[in-house]
Amino acid sequence: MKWTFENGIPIYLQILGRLRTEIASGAYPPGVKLPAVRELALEAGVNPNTMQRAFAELERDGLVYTQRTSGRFVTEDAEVLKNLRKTLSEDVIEEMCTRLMHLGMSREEILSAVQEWAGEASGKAKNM
Amino acid sequence: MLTKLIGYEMKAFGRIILPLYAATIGMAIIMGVGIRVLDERLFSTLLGAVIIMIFVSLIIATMVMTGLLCVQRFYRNLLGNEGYLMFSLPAGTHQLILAKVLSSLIWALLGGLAGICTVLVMGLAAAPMQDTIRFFKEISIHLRMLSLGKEMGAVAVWFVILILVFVSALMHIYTAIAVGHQWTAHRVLGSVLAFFGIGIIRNTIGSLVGQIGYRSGWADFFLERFDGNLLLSWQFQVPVIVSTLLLIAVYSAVTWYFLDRRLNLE
Amino acid sequence: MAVLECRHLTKRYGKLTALDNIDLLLEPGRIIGLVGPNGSGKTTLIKLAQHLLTPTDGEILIDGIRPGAQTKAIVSYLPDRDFLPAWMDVESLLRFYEDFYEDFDMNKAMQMLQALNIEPRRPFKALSKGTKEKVQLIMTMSRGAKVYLLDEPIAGVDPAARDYILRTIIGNYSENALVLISTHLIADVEPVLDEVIFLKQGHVELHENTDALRERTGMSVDNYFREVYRC
Repeated sequence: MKWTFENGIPIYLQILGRLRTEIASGAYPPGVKLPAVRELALEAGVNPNTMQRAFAELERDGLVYTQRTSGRFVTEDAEVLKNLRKTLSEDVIEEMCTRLMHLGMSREEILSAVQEWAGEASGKAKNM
Repeated sequence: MLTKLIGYEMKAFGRIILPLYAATIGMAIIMGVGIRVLDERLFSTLLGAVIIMIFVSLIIATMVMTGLLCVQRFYRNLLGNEGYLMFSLPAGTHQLILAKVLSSLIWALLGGLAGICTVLVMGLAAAPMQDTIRFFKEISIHLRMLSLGKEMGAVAVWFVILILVFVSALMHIYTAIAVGHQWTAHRVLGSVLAFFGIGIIRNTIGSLVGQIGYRSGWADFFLERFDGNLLLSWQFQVPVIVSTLLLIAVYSAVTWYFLDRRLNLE
Repeated sequence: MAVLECRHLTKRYGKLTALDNIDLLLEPGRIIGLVGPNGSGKTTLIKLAQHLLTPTDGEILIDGIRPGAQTKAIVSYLPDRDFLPAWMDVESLLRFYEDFYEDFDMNKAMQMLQALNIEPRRPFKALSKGTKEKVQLIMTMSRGAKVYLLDEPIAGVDPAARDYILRTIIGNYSENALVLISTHLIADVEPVLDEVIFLKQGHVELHENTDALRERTGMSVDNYFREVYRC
């Protein structure tokens, strides 16, 4: 997928967000080796130092670990990954709820709408 | 570094000058063969006139082009857009200047050599073989006699003087260009004015030194020992060599100063 | 330690002041954008760093010394104009660089030519403008220099060439080298930059980390630039 960046947000934060999502979604599965900083910087068309900074943040959060000679790997710690998904989903939920409340929906209405959606979605899944 | 710079100058000159040499020598052969076949009658035919015209034009073109390139390689290659390349090389300014001077000198000498070759080639093409062999025998006898005499030494000294005078004339132009380049606009006009200005300053200083020499009496040192033979006397040659060397030194210093300490490429 | 330093650097052309008392410290391992409108002093600064211009006052130091033969061996410079002898063919131009610069990597340059399908035997003057710019960039970036001075490397080339040039700059990144790119097209180079220097009428208006600037202003560097120079 092509890399695009939004105005007004530090680029390393945008890279960090994207890499977190890819780790959470399993696009980079646990234990897999990440591309080298230079390689990924080239792919994204960004400064290697910026990419390095995003990687350092990932490492600080424990999502990625470095093996001295062979490179960086996605963590295999299920607990860490679960927490990551939780944090990311919280962000999504908060954004969604804020927008829905903006549309004039109450907390209860949102909850029932989500339950209804989940019911339909599982129904669809069964029919398939 | 200097040899690399000169090597590059050789290529830049050569791609224009060498074809001219080749064409000139080619015409010399054609003319020689023409003379051999038709004798003097060649010169009264239309074809002969055309050949001579082309031949003379080629010689003039080669000489003019050599002179032009000596100046242009300095002006364009150092102070034009290519100057961005040349002044970005890890070479000292003195090396850049020296490379231009030496390569110009080499091409001037090569031009002389090419001239001799042209005459020889024409002679070879024109004359029957026995004549040629006899000619070379006589030449070698003359040369051997010369080398024994003191004339050979005088010729060598005059050759050195010729080279020095060439270099000083060239450096005069280079200095004028370097000075003219200080103007922000009208740099060509500035160079032309600088050329005449430098000439005036040089002549003024020259005559001043001469006058001081006469008045103070140290010129008598040379004059008293002057034996009347201008071309062969050291009393004449030594002052010429020393003053020309001094002139070259001053030109070099001024050119270096403006190209190194006051460089402002457009 | 700074690899490029300006101390009270001033350059006047007659009455016109192109740079006015500039102080800068640029460190290696950075890709830095030098931005500003035409006439703000970008090219003047770069030419001073390469000693193509002589400062009126103050000084500029490369790796601690004044620009000269010694610094030119470690500075790779891409001027903002056609500066190569047009009669030479591409390969002879590369050989020329190989001859004069010890840090020139001939193999790397030839590979880059090949990747772009540029025929090495073609005379430089027969190339299109975009290809000329690419060849010049290849020559500049094939050196293992400590300082790269790129004056408007992406002006006047098509988007594909622009992309290639920027990728070459990223791909060539070294922790030991400073890359200084002058441009008025900030949007294109923005993601590539660590730091940005805004020049305005010969003054340093701003010198900041690009991500810090985005965070502080909530704008892209390009938008902020437009704001600063609106008047």
